[in-house]
Amino acid sequence: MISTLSGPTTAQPVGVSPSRLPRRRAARQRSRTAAVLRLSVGITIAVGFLIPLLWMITGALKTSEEVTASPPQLIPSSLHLENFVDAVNYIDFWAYLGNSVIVTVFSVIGTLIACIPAAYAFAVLRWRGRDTTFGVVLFSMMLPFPAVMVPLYLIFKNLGFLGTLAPLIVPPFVGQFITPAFSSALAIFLLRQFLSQLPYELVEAAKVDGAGPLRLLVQIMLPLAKPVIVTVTIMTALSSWTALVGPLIFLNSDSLSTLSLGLQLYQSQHFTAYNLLLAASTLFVLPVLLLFVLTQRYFTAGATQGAVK
Amino acid sequence: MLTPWGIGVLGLVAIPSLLAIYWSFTDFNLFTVPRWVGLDNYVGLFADPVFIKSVTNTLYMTGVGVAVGTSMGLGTALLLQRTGRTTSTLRAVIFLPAIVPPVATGIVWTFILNPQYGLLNAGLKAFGIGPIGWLSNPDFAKNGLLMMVLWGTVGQVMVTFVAALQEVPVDTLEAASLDGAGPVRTFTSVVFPSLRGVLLYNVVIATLFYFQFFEQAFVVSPTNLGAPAQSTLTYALYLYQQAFTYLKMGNAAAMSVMLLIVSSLVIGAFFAISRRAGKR
Repeated sequence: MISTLSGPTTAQPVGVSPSRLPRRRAARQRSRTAAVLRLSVGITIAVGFLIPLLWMITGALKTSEEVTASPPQLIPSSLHLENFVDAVNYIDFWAYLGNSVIVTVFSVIGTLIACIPAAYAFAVLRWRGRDTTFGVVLFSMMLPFPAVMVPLYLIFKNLGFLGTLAPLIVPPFVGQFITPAFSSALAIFLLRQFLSQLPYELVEAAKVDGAGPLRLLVQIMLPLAKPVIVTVTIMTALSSWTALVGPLIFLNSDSLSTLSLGLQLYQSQHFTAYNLLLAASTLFVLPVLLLFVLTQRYFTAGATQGAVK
Repeated sequence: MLTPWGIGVLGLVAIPSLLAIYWSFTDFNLFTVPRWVGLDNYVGLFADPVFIKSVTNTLYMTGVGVAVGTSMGLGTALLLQRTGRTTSTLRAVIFLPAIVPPVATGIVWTFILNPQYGLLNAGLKAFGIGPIGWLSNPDFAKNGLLMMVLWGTVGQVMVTFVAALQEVPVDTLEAASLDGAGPVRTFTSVVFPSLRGVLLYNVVIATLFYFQFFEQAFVVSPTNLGAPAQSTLTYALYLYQQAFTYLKMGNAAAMSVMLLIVSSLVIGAFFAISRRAGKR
């Protein structure tokens, strides 16, 4: 697995032949200047990317006058932590949070239950039409959700799913967790990628020992596949937590709203209470940021696997 | 082992797609029975200036978004490709916005781009620019929207390029340097060719992303979709509007089918090109 954020710290050797020492010293000097320059540009860009988040957090701590002051007031006069309490009381925060947690947990469980066996079937088992069927996975990995959202809405309506959380909970269990950021198809792809890299001797050894395909999967492959399973879990949880389109279309009542949708409703209804809006946003983003700090390498593993392989 | 997935593909992808194709030739509003109207929906859409506007908006954002996003991703990757504590921290910071929920991104950026008290205009004022209505002036709104999207996507593009750059064999780079190739020459003839696959991947993924771009565009103006003056009305937003605001399911289905066809062509071209590149 490639982890590009916190990679190994091996210095790349500089390829200069030893016979040209004076030139080498000049080159080293030049490359050091370049490195400093490169670093300062990098730091500037990184700070630029960080500003919106800092602005959100500081805005959440300001009074409503400070937050819309012109010119902008960079630092809050004092830390107005009561904004968080007000924001939570202002909307049905705990109900939204509960819905978000339910949807996220079931999305993860469903995705793992549906995608691990499917990936195993594509990676390890041999059957006719396997590669063609896998083509369907690759294709559905990129299929735009808006193209099917209208028919899906009507199908869920006929199934009696509307008015419940089922439209977001059931699809993951049949391998159709679909959000803009991550999908079941991508999960199958990542899992298959990993499983098919395991040595085939494992399969043969298991056969000799008389283990069936199910035991082979559960007892031998799953423990080995832990890193990729963690990646899939994190990606599914994150994208389920943050998704807006699905909840917006399928959950048409306030009491069913996830935090994402609830925050959106709050924004369109109370556009002016910016400090509270930013406080609610901060509470919404915080778990994600924490997750990121704790499990950084799995995030990038998910983001890079599809591209490099 | 494949049964659940098979049921899902059939029930939630294949059948909906077929239904969309059928409904695109009918007129219905959720409560009536679909009535066959032939190609009327398609003809009607192409005569609808708002539809055309949503298409051109989407194409504009795709063009600019893909070009700027890919070059910024590649640029930051080249800048920060070295391994080490500092560069990996900087990469993590640039990647961070990718995990911020689109709703939160939309809220924070609407605030930053506000013409009166926004942070961006305050910064630009120091250089004597503005004030610019980043989201309130139809001439700028698409770019304001693109800014917030790029904030969240550049990091993702960057990490794919960094991963690819770290796979470039060190001895090839050494050989190039021994042959007297400067940094520019090394990049164009050694590094760039090995990035081609990732470049293609990023362009395709970004193109498909903008074709179905919805979330931030919805959040910046949820009560008046596409405002100001339909300048931020994306294809997906208009599809949503046709279905759930006007209840014109036939029109929405026709738009779904066209999106399906165009996306399939892009995906098909991607696989064809990467297969050909793989054979070489």
